[in-house]
Amino acid sequence: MKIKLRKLLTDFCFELDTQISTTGISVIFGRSGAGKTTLINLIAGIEKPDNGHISFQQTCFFDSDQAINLPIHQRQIGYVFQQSRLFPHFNVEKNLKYAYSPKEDPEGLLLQSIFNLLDLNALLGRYPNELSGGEKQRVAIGRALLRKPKLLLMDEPLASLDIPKKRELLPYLEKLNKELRLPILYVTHSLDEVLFLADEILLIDKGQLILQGKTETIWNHDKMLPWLKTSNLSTIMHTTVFQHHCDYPLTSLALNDQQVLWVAKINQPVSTKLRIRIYAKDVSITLNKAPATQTSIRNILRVRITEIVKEQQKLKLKLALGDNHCWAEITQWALQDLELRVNQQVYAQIKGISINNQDWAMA
Amino acid sequence: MLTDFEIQAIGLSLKVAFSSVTVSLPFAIVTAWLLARCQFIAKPLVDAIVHLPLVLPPVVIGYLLLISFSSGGTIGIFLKQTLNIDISFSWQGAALASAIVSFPLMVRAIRLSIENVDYHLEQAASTLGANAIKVFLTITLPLISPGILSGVILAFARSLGEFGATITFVSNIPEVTRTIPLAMYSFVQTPGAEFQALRLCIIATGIAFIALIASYVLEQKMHRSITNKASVK
Repeated sequence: MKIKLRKLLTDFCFELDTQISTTGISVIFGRSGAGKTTLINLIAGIEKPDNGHISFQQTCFFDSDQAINLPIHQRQIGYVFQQSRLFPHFNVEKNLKYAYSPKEDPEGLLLQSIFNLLDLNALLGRYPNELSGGEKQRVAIGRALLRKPKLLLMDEPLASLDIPKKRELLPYLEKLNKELRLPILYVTHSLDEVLFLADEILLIDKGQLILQGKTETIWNHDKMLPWLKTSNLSTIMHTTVFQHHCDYPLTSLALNDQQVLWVAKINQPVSTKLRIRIYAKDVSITLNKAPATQTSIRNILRVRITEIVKEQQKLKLKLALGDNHCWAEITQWALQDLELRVNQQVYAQIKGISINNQDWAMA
Repeated sequence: MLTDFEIQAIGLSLKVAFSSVTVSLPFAIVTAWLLARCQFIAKPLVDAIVHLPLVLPPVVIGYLLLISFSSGGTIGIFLKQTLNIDISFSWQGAALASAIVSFPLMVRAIRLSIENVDYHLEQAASTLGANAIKVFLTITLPLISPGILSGVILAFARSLGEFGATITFVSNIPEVTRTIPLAMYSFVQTPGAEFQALRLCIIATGIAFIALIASYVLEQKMHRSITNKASVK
């Protein structure tokens, strides 16, 4: 998908010139007010660029030079809004079938597969105001999918939900992309959703594209730091499930040929590729590897210090672990006593138990 | 129970009111939609023209209709020559007078309800592939139906009570243009007809009352079908 456009907004000028992948989930990430929603509104045709060009596959959505501006209803996109925007005067079934054409789906296969995918069968007779927030969003997603879109736009579909509801909905979103092979452009300001869903990240700030690329690359990129620090500093590592412990509910993840990381049990078969999030606060440094009988830390991994970043209160060490990276947070005092320096080989102690269900996703 | 005279007046009143509302409704919806959803230069002018009958004395409207639609007026001559229609001094003329007087009331009610429709819903419908006409028919129209109903009731009531414009434009002709208010006026003018005037007064009150209750029930029903049944559960 090709986008090159300019639009003057009240606070800043929105300018973008890029190609967005049309397979998988591309996450548009940034702070509130960065212009994320503007971007997908421009793609949907809800807003109009001042000038530029937008085309998707072989269809030109907008071109100021050729005076093309395809109306919203002809763009064949599905749009899931932050507020579900269900039609209050229709029940769930009528909402879902608003854009559905039985002629194109004579045996009702699409209908049934989407009802099953999103567990909609039990909701059909109800009206929107009788649904919970999570159910509303599932119906909204189903309604957008039954339009048979070529591209699905999602504007913070989970933002209006509380955390348990988010957990309930995330697996559906993951299934969506895997089962329907539908390209998705997903707007969010939540790092959890990025970790869980993104194949590609577009980092947007004040209407400019700061970074774009594969999830792990962008997450671990230096320019991403200001966004990560708002929560807790973290990195993403790519791993594969190596083995499950026979006695304890633990799983080991292979980081490279020699080293594994023990974490709380992950119910995935051996050799599944995962990405995991490691917080800097869960990593500490030691010079000598203590035997497993003398420390409660199970993960003591040989690493190399690649960078020392001094901050006011504490220090950040960037550690290389094969081709993975992670951050450790330590004090100035510890740095001096341990006489740490760049390129030194040390041991990183990682608290595996703090890696929970919110910190891993299928790669 | 009712005299022939009364039945005639009631029938004529209802006929005039029904036709005036039916004819003006589509125009009122279009005008309300234009005023609520579109921005154009002549908007203040259109708005003023639509509201004019609300502030003008009905006699003025009747007079304007008389000079333009009578057999000597420009529009009257045009209608006579092209379509062979003459509405002066007929019940159709009374319906036209009622329609013009009640038009602003209808437009106001519908316009308010269009402004209350969340345009985000219409946007959502267009992302689902609906063109402007489908969006209007499937989303906007059902959501403004209570507003349309209250506009219709208001206009209907105004038409039933129309007096000044009617008597000026189509006069007070028995069996042709003598609606309930005009009939009452005639009785009040006739010495010794106080009792007949009182009977008509009761009939008029009764009709108004029934219309108001019917509108209340209908409106409740429509509201329920839009905001949907949460209260029923």
